[in-house]
Amino acid sequence: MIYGWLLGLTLLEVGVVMAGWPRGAIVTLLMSTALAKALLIALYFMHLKFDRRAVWWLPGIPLLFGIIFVGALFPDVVWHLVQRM
Amino acid sequence: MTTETRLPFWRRYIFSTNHKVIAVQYLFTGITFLALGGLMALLIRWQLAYPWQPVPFIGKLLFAGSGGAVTPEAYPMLFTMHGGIMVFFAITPILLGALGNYTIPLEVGARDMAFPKLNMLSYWFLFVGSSILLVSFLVPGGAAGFGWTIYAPLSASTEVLPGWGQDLFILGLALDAVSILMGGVNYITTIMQLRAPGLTLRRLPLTLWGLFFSAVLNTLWLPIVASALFMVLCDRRLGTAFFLAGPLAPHTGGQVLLFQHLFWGFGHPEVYILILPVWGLVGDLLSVFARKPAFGYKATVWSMFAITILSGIVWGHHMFTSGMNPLVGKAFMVLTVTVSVPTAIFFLNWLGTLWRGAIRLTVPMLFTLGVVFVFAIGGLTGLFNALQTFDVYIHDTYFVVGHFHYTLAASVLFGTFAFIYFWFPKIFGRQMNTRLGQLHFWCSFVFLNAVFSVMMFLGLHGHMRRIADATAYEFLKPVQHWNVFIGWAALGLGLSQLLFFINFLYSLFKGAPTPANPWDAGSLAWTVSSPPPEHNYATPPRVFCGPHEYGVPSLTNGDWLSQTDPQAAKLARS
Amino acid sequence: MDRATSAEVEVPLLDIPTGKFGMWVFLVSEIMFFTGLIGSYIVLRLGATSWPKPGEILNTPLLGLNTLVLLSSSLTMALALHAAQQDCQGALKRNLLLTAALGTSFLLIKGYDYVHMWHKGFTISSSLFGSCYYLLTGFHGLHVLSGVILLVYLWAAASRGVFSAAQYGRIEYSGLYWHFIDIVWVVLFAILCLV
Repeated sequence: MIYGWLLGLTLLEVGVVMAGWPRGAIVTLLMSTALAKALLIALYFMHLKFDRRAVWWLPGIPLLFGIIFVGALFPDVVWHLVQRM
Repeated sequence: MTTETRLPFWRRYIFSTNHKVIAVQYLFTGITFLALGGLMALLIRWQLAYPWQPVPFIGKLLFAGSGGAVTPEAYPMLFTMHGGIMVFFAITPILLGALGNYTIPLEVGARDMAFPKLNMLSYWFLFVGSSILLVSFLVPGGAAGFGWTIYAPLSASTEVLPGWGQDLFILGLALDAVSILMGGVNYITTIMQLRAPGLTLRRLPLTLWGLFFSAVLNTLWLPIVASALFMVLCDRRLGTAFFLAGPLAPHTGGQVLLFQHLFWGFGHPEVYILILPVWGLVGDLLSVFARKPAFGYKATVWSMFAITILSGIVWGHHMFTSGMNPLVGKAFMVLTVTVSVPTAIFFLNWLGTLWRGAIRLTVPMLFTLGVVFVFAIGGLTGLFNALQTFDVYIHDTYFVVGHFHYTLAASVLFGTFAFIYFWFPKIFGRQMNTRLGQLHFWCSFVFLNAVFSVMMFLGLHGHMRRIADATAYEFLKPVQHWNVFIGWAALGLGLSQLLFFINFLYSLFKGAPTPANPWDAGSLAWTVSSPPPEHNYATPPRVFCGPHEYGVPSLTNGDWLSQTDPQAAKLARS
Repeated sequence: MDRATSAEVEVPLLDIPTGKFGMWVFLVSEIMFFTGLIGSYIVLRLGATSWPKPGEILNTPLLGLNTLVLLSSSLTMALALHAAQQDCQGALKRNLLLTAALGTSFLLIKGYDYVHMWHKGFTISSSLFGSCYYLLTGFHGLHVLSGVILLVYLWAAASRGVFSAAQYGRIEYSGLYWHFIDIVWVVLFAILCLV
C-alpha cells in the first residue's frame, strides 16, 4: 500500500545520509524523495487524486506564490548579487 | 418549525453567532479605534506645526512629564500607533469585519455565514488583540515606536527599544491576524459555496467580489507577515538573530533585508485588501444612484482579479532604496506599473456607469463620488511612486505619505462612510440625518484635500517622513508654514468627523424608521425588512438576474428590477 | 446557460461539502505560513557562509524514527476515515485513538530530543541553525499538539455515536489537517535534518 512506499522512502533517506553519500547526490535524492512522499500523502491520504481537478487549485495557488516569493529573495539574500556587483 | 427558545442576553448580543450582531460589534470597535487613530494624527500634526509646544487642552493629561508637549520618545509612538491602529484596528474591522460580515450572507441569500461559531471567535480574537494594543500604551517604555512597518533591526533588537510595548504591539497584531484569517475562511466559503439558487457568479454584487478578492489576499499573505512577526519576537526575547547582523547580533547569518521582504510581501497585498471592498462598493453604489447597470461589470471583475494576482508580486516597490538588487527592482517596477492598467479599466467603468445616468445625490452617493475623485489622485500619484528612478528621490518623503493617504485616508475612508451611510438603514432600521451627512461630506472633502494635496508638494520639496521637527533642517524652514497650514486643516478634518459621530449616535436611537428598501436597490439584501429577520430568509430566495437592473426600458411598471423578481427571467441579459 | 432552469440550481463553486471547502481554505493559509517560515530558512541557509553538516548536531536516526511515527499516524487517520465511511464504529474509535497516541509519541520523542540537545548546548540562540531548527520544528510541534487535541475531541464524539456512514465530514476534514502537518514534517525532516 501507499504506507509501504512511504516507509521505504524514509528508510532510504536515512540510510543514504548515514552512509555518507556525496553531497550533490544526497541533496538531489532527498529533495526528490521528500517531494515524492509529500505527493503520495497529498494525492492518496488527502484524496486529491480522486477529487475534481478544481480542488487542486486550492493547495496549488499558495504553492505557486510561495515559490515566486522565495525565488524573488534569491538575488539579494542568497546570491548577494548587489555586493558582488 | 419548532419554536426557538429565546437565548439569554449574553448569548444574543455578546457571544452571538449571528453575523449581523458580529458585524455591529466589529463596527463599534472599528469606529472607536478610528477616533483613537485620528486623535493620534492630530497630535502628530500639532507637533509638526508647532514643534515642542504644549498641546492645548489635553497635553497635560497625555504628556505629563514634559508639561504637555510631545517628546522625542513619544513622537515615534504616535506615528507607529496611528498607522497600526488605522490599518489593523479601524479600517479592517469596519470594512472587512463589519461590511463583510453584514452584507455577505444577506447578499448571497444565506441564513448566516458558513461557519457561525468561527465567526464569533474571529471577533473575540480581534477584541483581545485590540485590548492588548491599548494595554501597550500603559506599560513602562510606552507603546511601540518602530513605525507600523516594524522594520528590523530597530524592532528586532531590545538594545534600542527594550520596552514590552513593542512586543505587545506585535502580539496584538498577531491576534488580529488570526481573527482576519478566520474571517477569510468564512467569507471565501460563504461567497463561493452558499449562494442562493440562480445567483451565479455573473450576478454577484460587486461589493461581494471586492470582499472575496480581499479575503483571498488575506488568506494568502497574512501568514507570511505572521511568520515574520514571530521571528521578530524571537529576536527580541529569545536571543535569536533572524533579522540582526553586525554588532547587534549574537551570532552570524541573519539577514536584515529578509524582514522587509516578508513584511512587504504581505504589506503590499494589505493595501489592496483594504481598498478592494471599497472598489466593489463604489461599483455597486454608482449603479444604484445613477439608476444604471454597472458599466462593464465583467471587465471590472476581471480587473479586480488581475489586480489581486499582481498585488502579490509587486512588493519590492516599497524597497527601491533598501539596497535591494536593482535588476529585481526593475522587475518590480514593471509589474507595479502594469497594475495601473486594470485599475484604469475599472475606473473608466465607474465613469461609464455615471455617464448619462439619472444621478440621485444622496449622502452615500456624495461619498461614492468623493471616492472616485480622491482615488483618481491617489492612483495617479501611485504611478510616480512606482518608477524606481523617481522613487529614489521621493522615498520616505511626504510625497509617499500624500499618496497613500489619498488612497487610504481619503478613498478608503470615504468608502467607509459610503458603507455606513448606505447600510445604516438596513442594519439599524433607522435613517441617518441627510443634512448632517451632506455637511459631513463637504467639510471632510475640503479639509482632506487641503491636508493631503499640500503634503504632495512638501514631499517634492524634500520634506522627510517621520521627523518630529522640520525646523531642525535648514532647507525645510521655508516650508514650515505649510506644516502649520496642514495642522489647522487636519484639525478641521477631525472636527468635521464630529458631525458624523453625532449623526451616527443620534440616529441609532432617534432616527426615523426606514422602509425595507429606502434606496430602491436591486440586490438580495434589500428584499428583506430593515432590520432583517433574525435568520435573514425563511426559504432561500430565487435569483433571476443581476443586482444592477436599473433603468430597464422594457418594463411597464417601474423602471428597475429586484434580483428576485421573476420578470427578470424574460430579460435578454443574464 | 439555460435561463429557465438557472433559477432552480444551487450554484456552489466546487462540488464538495462546505466543511471540506472551508478546511482547504484554512490549509491555504497554513501552506503560506509554513512557506514564510521554510522560505526564510531556505534563503537564510543558502545565504549563510557556513552551516553544520547533517548528522553533526541532530540525531538523524531518532528523527527518522519520528518521521515513521508520524507517517504511521497518517495511515491510522486514513483508516479511521475509511472506518467511518463503512460505519465501523469500533474501528473508527480505535484508529482515532491510535492516531492521537502516535501524535503524542511524536511530541514526546521530540520533547526528549529538545531537552537532550539543549543540555548539549544546541539552543535556540546558540546559532542560526539552532534558531531555525527550534522555530520550524517548534511551530510544527504546536500544530501537531492542536491536531492531537482535535483527535481526542473527535474520539470523544465518536464514543457518543456522532459519526456514521452518512455523517463523517468532520473526520475527513480533520484528516486533511492531519495529513497536511505530516507533509510539513516530511519537508522539514528533509531540509533540516538530512541535507
